[in-house]
Amino acid sequence: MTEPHDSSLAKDALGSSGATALGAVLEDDLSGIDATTGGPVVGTKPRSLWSDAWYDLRRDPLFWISAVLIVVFILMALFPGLFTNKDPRQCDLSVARHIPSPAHWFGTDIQGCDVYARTIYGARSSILVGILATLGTAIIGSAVGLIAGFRGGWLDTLLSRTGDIFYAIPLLLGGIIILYTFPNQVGTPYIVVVLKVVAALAILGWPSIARLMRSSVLQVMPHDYIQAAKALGAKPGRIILSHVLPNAMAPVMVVSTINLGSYIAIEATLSYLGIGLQEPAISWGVSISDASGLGYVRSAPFMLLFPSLFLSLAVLAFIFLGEASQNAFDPKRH
Amino acid sequence: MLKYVIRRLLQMIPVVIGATFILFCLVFALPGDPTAGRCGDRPCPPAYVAAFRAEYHLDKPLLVQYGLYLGRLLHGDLGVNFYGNTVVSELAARYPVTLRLAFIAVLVEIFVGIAAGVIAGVRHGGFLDYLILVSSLVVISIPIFVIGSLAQLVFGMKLGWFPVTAGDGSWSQLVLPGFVLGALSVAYVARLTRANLIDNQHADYVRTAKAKGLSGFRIVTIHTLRNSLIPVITFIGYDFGSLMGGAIVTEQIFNINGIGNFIFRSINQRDGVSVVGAVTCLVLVYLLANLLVDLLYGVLDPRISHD
Amino acid sequence: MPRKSTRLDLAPIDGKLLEVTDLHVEFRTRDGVAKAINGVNFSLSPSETLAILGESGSGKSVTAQAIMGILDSPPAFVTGGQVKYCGVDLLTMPEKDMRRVRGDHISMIFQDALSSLNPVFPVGWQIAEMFRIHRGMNRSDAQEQAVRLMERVRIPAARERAGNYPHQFSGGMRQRIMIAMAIALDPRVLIADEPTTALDVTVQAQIMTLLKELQEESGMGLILITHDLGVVADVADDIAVMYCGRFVEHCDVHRLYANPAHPYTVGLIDSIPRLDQKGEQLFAIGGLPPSLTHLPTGCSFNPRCRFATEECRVAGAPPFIEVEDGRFAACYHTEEVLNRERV
Repeated sequence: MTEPHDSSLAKDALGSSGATALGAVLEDDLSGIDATTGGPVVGTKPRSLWSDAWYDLRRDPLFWISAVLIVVFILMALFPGLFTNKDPRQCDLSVARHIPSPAHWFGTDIQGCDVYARTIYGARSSILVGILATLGTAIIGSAVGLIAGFRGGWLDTLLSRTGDIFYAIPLLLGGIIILYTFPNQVGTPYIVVVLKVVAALAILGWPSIARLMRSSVLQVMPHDYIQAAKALGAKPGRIILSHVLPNAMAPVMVVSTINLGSYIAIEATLSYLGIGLQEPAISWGVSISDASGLGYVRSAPFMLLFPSLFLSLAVLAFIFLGEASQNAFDPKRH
Repeated sequence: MLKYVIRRLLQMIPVVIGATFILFCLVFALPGDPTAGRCGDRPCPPAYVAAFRAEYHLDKPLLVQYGLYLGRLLHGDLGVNFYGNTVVSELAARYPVTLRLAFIAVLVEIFVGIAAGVIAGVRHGGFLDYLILVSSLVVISIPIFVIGSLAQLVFGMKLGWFPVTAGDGSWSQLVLPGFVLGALSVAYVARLTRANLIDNQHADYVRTAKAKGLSGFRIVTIHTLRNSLIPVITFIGYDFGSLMGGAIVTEQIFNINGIGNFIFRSINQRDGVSVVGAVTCLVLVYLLANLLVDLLYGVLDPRISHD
Repeated sequence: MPRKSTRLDLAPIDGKLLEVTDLHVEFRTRDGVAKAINGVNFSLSPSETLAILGESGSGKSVTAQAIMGILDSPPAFVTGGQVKYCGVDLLTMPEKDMRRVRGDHISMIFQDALSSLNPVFPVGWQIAEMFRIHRGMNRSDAQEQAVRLMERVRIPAARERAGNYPHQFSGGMRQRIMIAMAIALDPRVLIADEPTTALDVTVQAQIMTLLKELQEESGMGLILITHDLGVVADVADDIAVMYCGRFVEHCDVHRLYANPAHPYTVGLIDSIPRLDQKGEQLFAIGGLPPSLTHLPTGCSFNPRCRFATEECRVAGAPPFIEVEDGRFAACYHTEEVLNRERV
């Protein structure tokens, strides 16, 4: 709520700082000379932040693993038919809870639906919720942060304190309240159900992006060239486009990527609790919820295992990507 | 220090008011029927709707409604559910189990998380560091209901090391659920401890400590760790929110009769008064936990409180 | 950790406390190897004050940290030479013994006392830690000693202030606390790394006076590291000038000021503002120090030197030799420099 937390929360939001790849960790150590020993100043080649980051990313195995996973999941969400020719809604009670077999690679669930097909089709909900919620928080958060940082004064205070208040409501608890207040009826269209979850996450999630944006604005504002541009009558929009956004882009993208992973996890948790997506929507959370009755865990663990694996991999991919790009953009390493 | 405590308490007030106002608006003030989904699967009987509207003064202006609502909240009144029980009495019967569960989870967070973070930080760049970093990312990525179900399957059913369920909520039954609940935060705590430890290892005061002739062990355990743990403690406080969200899932998986399970059941029985009341209560507990952590922060970091 | 209540038994040999011979340190980074120290030689006797003078990056702090054995390794590696303290080479001493030398026999104070003191412990506790670790004292005795030390460095109301935290003191008082901590165990050598750089001019003088007084009381050898000739002029016996990891000149203060023997020293002295030449433009040494990863061939100073000849560019680094009685310089043109036309 005040300064001391912000730093730690920023770290938290960033999945805590620190290099991941072994090589990167070593380099991290070496670059610390000037600061730590007052020792020799070593000449460095001037490279731009982005090309520098890309140079590091290309060498990070985490980046490639996560990039490949994300591409696969996005394809799965867009064209599930590429991965399976079975219809996830074509279920046959007579083959319910069969163990994995050549006919049903991941087995069948309680209704006799093909677990593999349901897992493939489940990607769409998760990816859709994740991407839309991230876009939502990025748009709301950026707008609020930019206005707060630029206008300053009472508007800044009002917006920042409002952000603190939203920040004070834990995401999952707030999500439960919001989704409970707007329950789905049997006939509610799929996209509306998805958008409700997205709205809940966006309403509760925007303050972290707003803080980042605001601090980026405050960082560049005191610079002489901004003041000069203002004095010369440059429009705020122009200053934002040419000076603020390039600065804020990297941290916002890193945090958004990590958030995307957590939104997928929270969507699944809400669905698991029975208030996010519900039948007949197909989603990993719903499948896991169906499969996690005590008796089923014992008798048909594959029903639980496969959607869990896909869900975890999807979350992991985005968190890995965020982590890798955070390392690459870390100014301490250059 | 006293000044600091008072300042923190005062800063807390607008946040509590704001957060409860948001919750209130979500539940009562937005378009839609606030009694929808509060009486199980059927629509509420007209008598109940009338009583509900009177109870929450829904015919009065919004701010008056909120004022009355806040007054009731301060008196510990979270409402009466469709079954005629007060939400407070439902929570009172269940909170000791949840408290025990949260206690185990926080202990796991502190001991396992900090130990792993210190090992990784001290072995910065080594194999153990890499192992801890990657495995913590993996743990962070697995949603808690997956971890819970898998732990139950592996450690409860296949290996038989722990009870499969924890219906009584005794300490021994809560060990496995406690680890599950703490798992996600353990990973964050380990990473945060590691990152801070590494940052602090290059601090000037560490150079001084070396020049004083202190052993590497003493420098890490006394000088660096004390500084590195300040943000970690703050994190644990903030993380209390996700811990309570996780408790809903964990208690459901292990069939623990605590507040989380009550919320889960109420969601499925469409007992809205209970859902909203219990969640509001958790949000308040969360804010209180943050206040306590703020105060602890002041104790740990003299730069904050001694000026 | 085992509490050692006695001091490691070491005594000066031939009146020399410290003898540094041909010290080499390099930093191995991903951008290449930076040769930070390239053969440093000097010695220190009890009660002697040696000032090491140089720009940032010249290697003066690295020299100090190499003597203390507190360089961060990696990236820093001592690649050659000896640091003999009382006849024992500190570079090859087991770490366990070396810890008993640090703080007890040789101690060090740093430039920025605010960041160099631990922010979360009271200053009295930090001073008392010296007694608890090196002398095995209990908490209350050590605390009592700490208060006495704070009085000795003239911190007002020492007893009450021992419980305060570093950020609650002024810059000068904080540096006094650093000094109290460093002299706690009566070290034979005190290394002060830019002890006054972060302070106001009046406070600078007070701190230097305090150091001088403490030295007179205890007879310790003092190494003063600074980039500011003015600070050390009154207190130093000898001055060593460092450039690119080498000593380029080493002699007593008076002769160094009166007539430098190395072109770099000439530049340093000419760049001091002088009251009798008011209104004239200040002299500045042209060019910038070279990158330590790519030192020029020959004498490192040759690209900036007005005396430089072909020899300076192609021959190896000039040897550090005695050019007058007790005066050392590393320059092929010392004679020319000493007899140059004065401005």
